[in-house]
Amino acid sequence: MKIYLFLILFASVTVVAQTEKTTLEVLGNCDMCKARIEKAALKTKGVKYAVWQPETQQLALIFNSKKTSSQDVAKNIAAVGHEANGITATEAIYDSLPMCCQYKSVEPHVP
Amino acid sequence: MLKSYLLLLLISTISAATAQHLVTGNVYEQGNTNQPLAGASVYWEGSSIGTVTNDNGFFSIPHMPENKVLIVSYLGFETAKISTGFHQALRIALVPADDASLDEVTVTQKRKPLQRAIFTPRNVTTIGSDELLKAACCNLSESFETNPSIDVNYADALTGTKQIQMLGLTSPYILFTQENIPNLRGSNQTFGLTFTPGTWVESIQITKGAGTVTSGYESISGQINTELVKPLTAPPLFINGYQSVNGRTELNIQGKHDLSSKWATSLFVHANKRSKRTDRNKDGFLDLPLSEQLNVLNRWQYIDAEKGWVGFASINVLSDTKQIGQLAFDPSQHKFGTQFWGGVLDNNKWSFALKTGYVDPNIPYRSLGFQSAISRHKQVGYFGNNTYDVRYSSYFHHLVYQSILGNTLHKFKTGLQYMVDRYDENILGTQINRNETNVGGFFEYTYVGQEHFNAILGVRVDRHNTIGTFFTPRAHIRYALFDNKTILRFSAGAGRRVSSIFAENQRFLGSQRTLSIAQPTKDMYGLLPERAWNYGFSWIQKATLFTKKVDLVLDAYRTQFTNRVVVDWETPGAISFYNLNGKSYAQSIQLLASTALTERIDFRFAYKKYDIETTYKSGLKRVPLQPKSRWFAFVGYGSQLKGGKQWRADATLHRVGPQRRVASFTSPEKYADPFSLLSTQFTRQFSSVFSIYAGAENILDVKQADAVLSSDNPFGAAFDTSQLYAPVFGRMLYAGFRFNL
Repeated sequence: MKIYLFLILFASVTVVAQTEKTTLEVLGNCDMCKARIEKAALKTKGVKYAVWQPETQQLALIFNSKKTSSQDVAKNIAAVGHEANGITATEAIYDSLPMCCQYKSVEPHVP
Repeated sequence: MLKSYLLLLLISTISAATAQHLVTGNVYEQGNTNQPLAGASVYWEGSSIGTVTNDNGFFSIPHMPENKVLIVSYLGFETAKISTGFHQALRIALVPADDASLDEVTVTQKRKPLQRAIFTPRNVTTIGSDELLKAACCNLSESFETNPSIDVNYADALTGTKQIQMLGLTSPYILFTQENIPNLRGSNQTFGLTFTPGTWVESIQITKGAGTVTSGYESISGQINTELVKPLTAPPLFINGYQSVNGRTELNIQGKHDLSSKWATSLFVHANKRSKRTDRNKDGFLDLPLSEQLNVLNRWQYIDAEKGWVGFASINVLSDTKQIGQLAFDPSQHKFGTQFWGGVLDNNKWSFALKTGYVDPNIPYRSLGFQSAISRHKQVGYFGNNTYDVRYSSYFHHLVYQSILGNTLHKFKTGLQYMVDRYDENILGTQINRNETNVGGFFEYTYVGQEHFNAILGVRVDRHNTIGTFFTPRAHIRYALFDNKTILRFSAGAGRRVSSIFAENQRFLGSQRTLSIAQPTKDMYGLLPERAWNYGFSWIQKATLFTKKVDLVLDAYRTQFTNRVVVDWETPGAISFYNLNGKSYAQSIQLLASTALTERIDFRFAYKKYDIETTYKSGLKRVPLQPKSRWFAFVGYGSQLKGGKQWRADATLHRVGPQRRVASFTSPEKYADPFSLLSTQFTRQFSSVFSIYAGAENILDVKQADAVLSSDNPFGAAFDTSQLYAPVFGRMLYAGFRFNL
């Protein structure tokens, strides 16, 4: 019963915290990318909500502006291989992405 | 031995490596080769290998022998599937989605008709609208024949009613909800499923084992939720007609009207009638009742996505009448007489439901919902000289708030529920009034953190005027291994309920059994509330067998009662209700395999084993009329959809194992022989608007010879229609049409 009350209390506290809403441009292709991008965003302390759509290449983000910034989130996403708000991923990390997530244009193949 | 294996492995790896080559091609807009599509996704079906086209619409992708189908998709265009010509440069033209008329589209990805949830911790199977079409007829109680999770039993030899069962427990132990509002409670237990016409149903979600605490404390062996067709998405006009050789005629007319882009209303009308008297087993009793039903549903739906408001209002009015008993019985002359045995059951019901929800568009993870439902049900009737009337009123209010703890990896739902149930019963001349009031609060936490592990933990506290104050904990855990190829689920949960013994067991009225119950007019008929724990384990394995993808499922569940109202049919000529004194449990194991034999043929196979025992006054026994085992096989075919035209066919086989039959005056306790039920259906879709269908049920013509015990002397002590284990009516043919604008 105590835990229950505590959880409700906790929930109401999070509701009053300072929230900011924004969107980031994040490059990627498929559902595997989606999982990776959203996970990297949500693992950033202060991020409450992160949903990325492959069609629009946009990440909808809600976070506590006292704890983090959209730039921090973009850095964390770039660190797992996806270019976010102009922050590029290192070549080594990009190359380690699975084939379907290699979002950069494929060079024409000359037979 | 080992060496030669290693060598083989080595060879196969090399051949796999050498077999890899690059498939290249260009993607452009159809009819315009100068318009390359840049950024189109190109990937191999069923693999994680994929790429996107460059600015010139060009792509190159590695090709392995197991990669058979290349998928090319681009927003705003129809997805293309290519399965040949990989040795040369491909030229792929995509058709813009707007111009693509329905007729030209080939169905590329078939939705599985029975979808088992992969990512939720609960063991949920969804029956979609495609699957619902395979049901022969006509209402919710008949929608589960092609689904192995649900078993269908026969309620009695008089009313033609079917009883739904999950994990070896009959429907009172399953919580039925309609759009998450409990709708098959109290007096609706016996006939309630026949009050929802099949054509109203959009989908059904079946949860095996402990349910969610958010919908109540009552679900014990599982939960079945029905979603009805929504006004905003309903077709403007739908008409369905059905006729069977047993004299059943059904008509459904469904229409809707969009008042604006935010408001829509729908009006659904259902009527059915059976006026033909049939007696194929020549026992002098109607095989199926003479019946008539009129059922009207009006719904209003509101959605304002910008402001975040959604709302539903529904009103449903129903009238249903059944005449049962001997062929010559005429209610106007023979009611309560001793010349002919018969009865009439009149059901009238109305219900009103309101649902509203609010999501702040700026904070999409937070929402508030409120549901309210009122219903009145009246059943008046008699079975021979046995009378049973019940008036039931139910009030349900439900408030739920959803949000997150920190971030969306941790979600929760919390809320309050208030329910009032009023029963006004008259059983065999004795008046019994019951009032039940319950206030409950619930909290459910969902961890969606990782792809391979998630969990739902829930608890609720209820204060019930007769049960008292109690906790209901429930937990669901999911663990995925090997890239989601193996999924393990564990669940445990408690459930309680007050048994409405007469409403749930009214089939005993169709017999000359004498009723014995200690204190019928006290709270809960002088009995204790039922209480049980359910534990379950489920293992889903995706495997490849002879190049076919096969889904294998093992489900093992046990329900253990700590308190139960025992319904004792063991003594011939008597029925008694008493509290459990000893063990009572239901244990089930299900093995299921499903696969697509070809792109057009689906196959399902299941084996189920049941151990269901209860301690009666005469000792621990198998519960009567519960098969020890069941076998199930299903095969379905759908031809390629061309210009809206399609053929569909399916066949279902049920093998029902031995069932214990209680002793009667003339026969000792015995096991009924196993039997098989075979059914089939054919559908011809002439266009996207019109289709006709025809089918046969119980093709092997199985009939229970002694469906009515002592049918020649219905006023004698040995008369009994409650011990039905097989169909009364044999082979049954039907046909119908659907007009869907």
